[in-house]
Amino acid sequence: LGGIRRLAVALACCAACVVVISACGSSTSSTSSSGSTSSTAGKATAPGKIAAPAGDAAALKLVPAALKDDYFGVSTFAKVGPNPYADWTPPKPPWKFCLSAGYLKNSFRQEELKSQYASVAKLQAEGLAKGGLTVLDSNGDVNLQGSQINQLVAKGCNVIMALPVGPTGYCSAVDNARDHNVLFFTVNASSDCKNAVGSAENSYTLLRDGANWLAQQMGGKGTLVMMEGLRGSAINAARMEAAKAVFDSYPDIKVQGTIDGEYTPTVAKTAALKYLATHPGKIDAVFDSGAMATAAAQAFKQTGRPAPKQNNFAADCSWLAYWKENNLTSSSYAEGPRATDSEAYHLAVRMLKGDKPALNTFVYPLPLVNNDNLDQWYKPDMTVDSGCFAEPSNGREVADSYWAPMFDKGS
Amino acid sequence: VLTVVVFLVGGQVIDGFTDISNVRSLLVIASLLGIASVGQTLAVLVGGIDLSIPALMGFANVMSVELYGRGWSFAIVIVVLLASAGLVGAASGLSSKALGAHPLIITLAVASIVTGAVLAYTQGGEATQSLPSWIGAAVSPAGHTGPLAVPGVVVAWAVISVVLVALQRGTVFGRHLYATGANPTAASLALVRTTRVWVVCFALSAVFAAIGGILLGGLSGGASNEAGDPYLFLTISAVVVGGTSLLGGRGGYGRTIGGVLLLTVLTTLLVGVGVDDEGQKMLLGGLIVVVVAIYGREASVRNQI
Repeated sequence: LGGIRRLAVALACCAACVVVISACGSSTSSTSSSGSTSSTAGKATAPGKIAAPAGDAAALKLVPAALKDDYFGVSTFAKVGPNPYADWTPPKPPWKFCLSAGYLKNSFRQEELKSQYASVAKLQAEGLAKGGLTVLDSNGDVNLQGSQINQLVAKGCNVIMALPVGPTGYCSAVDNARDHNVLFFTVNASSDCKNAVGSAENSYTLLRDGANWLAQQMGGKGTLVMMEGLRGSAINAARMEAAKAVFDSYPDIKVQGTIDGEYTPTVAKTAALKYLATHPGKIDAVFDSGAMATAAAQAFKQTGRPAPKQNNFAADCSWLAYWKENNLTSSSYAEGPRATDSEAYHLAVRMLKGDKPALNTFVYPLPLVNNDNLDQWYKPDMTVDSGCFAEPSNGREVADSYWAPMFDKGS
Repeated sequence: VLTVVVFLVGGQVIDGFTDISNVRSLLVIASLLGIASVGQTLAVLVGGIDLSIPALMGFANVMSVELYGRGWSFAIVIVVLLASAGLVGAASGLSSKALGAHPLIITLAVASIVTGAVLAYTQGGEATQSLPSWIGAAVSPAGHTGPLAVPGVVVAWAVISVVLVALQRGTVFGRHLYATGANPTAASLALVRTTRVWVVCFALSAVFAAIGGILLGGLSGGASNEAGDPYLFLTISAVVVGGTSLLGGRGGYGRTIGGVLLLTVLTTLLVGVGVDDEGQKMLLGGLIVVVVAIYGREASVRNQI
């Protein structure tokens, strides 16, 4: 009798679950299938043309005129303000470089770490750095990262390069660094701390342009799904907001739904298989917000679905190999981890040499990879199983001249 | 029964949900989870838990691509990785039992060591070679096993399941497993070598995690240290939803199979009706609470004797 009672209770629970799920699902799916978005971007003036996000007006006032286009959408992923080191007197070289890392346990971050070691070694050979790179990793703990920043200040670091856990939560430690004349510089991430400066790729415009490219490949009509990264992160929000705003501007493009891939190929593949199993209709295109294009393509192929049109973001080696092997038409932006950190070191060294930027946030575009230049980026040892990312051949994301309007000494 | 109910509901709610091509996709996803859940089931049966499964999956995922890319024979790669994982798992079981420390702490520490070691060895895991094509075919929903239109991983999971259930029910080791989980003190007095049981269980857990990691290497491009991360919550959920007691000594892999199938079908149904990732997590959390409320209120076997 006990067993029967348990089974009855379990079945009742399951039935209740299914009712709740169906109710939740019908409302959710109707929202996603309508293609509507909660984007703060203004109304589209024409397909592909989207107005600046609401917060941009104030942020762009501070940006040098020559860089305003490159800072479009900056308010979605950074808090732009004046340079907090405007009255700073940099220490004399050689400088002690330190790294406060929020997380180092993936291949992208390990490549960044190697890039930082190489940058410091090069500076040391030039007599501009001393004592190698000191690294502390908080393993995702924001409170520990704050404590470690204080430790690095106490160790006599002149510069703290940071891969922060998040935009805030360690600001008192950054203030302490500033009080001790230490430059605090975040790498490929913005910080809300008033005494932090940092660099970041423009996630908004890059994904806006990627979405526009895909919409044009679709001929401005059809159904697409979006591969989403890590929900809850500011970068993911900026990327998705930009892309949704673009797709909304095309009246005949319907965003059928999103697939949560968490920027991890195996997660993305599993999620894509589940999505395809429950969405039998035609899907014309798949929008990738970060290194999940191969997973999506494989899911379509292995379930016998027609290959969708696809963009890619990050130019991961896996997609470049798939793109090449299958002779596709695609587009991507190269977010090389080594070049990302080289860019940050270039900027930090300029500040240490006394060059003063106008802002606290350095925003830059990424190199475009398309069918015209794919052979310059693809390497024969890249395969669909590769875990690496394509790097610009000169090791930098932008030329020195790009930053001329930002600094008081120009180029 | 619940799996069948949810599956049939899915067939009514979602067009094409019960199509054979979709069933193959679901079975591939379930097989990967099922293989990863073998170890969690064994660890829970003896009264422990294994938090190192994701790290060992990441280890095998990255190192299989890395070593094969360096020109190693794939057979040797598999042997080396499974042996290494087995040793790591055995060390977890031994240290946990010998030190009297809860395996939750020991396996968490081991996970950190394994992840760090992989990163140190690979210098970031920038592996650039493909695994043999048969691995990809084995985990492809379009894959075949001989003339059968069934992916190889599904067949492998079926074989593993049969062997494991037979091991639990029909062997001396199986009886020792339950005796150790039910009451380790009583089991010792009955001359069961409980330490050896723990060591074997945690070693097997690590080996099956490594198998799962290698298979994930064929699932999609981009070997990653984090490939196994989703499997921590999922393996524990599969064991709990299946009805194996977290107190040890009761349940088994047969129940975990039910949990795996239910979770796979249910999460796919949720995707189909538009429930996002956060919603899925909340509903799965709720399901676990419900299941524990049904199954988990009974006293441990050791307190019933």
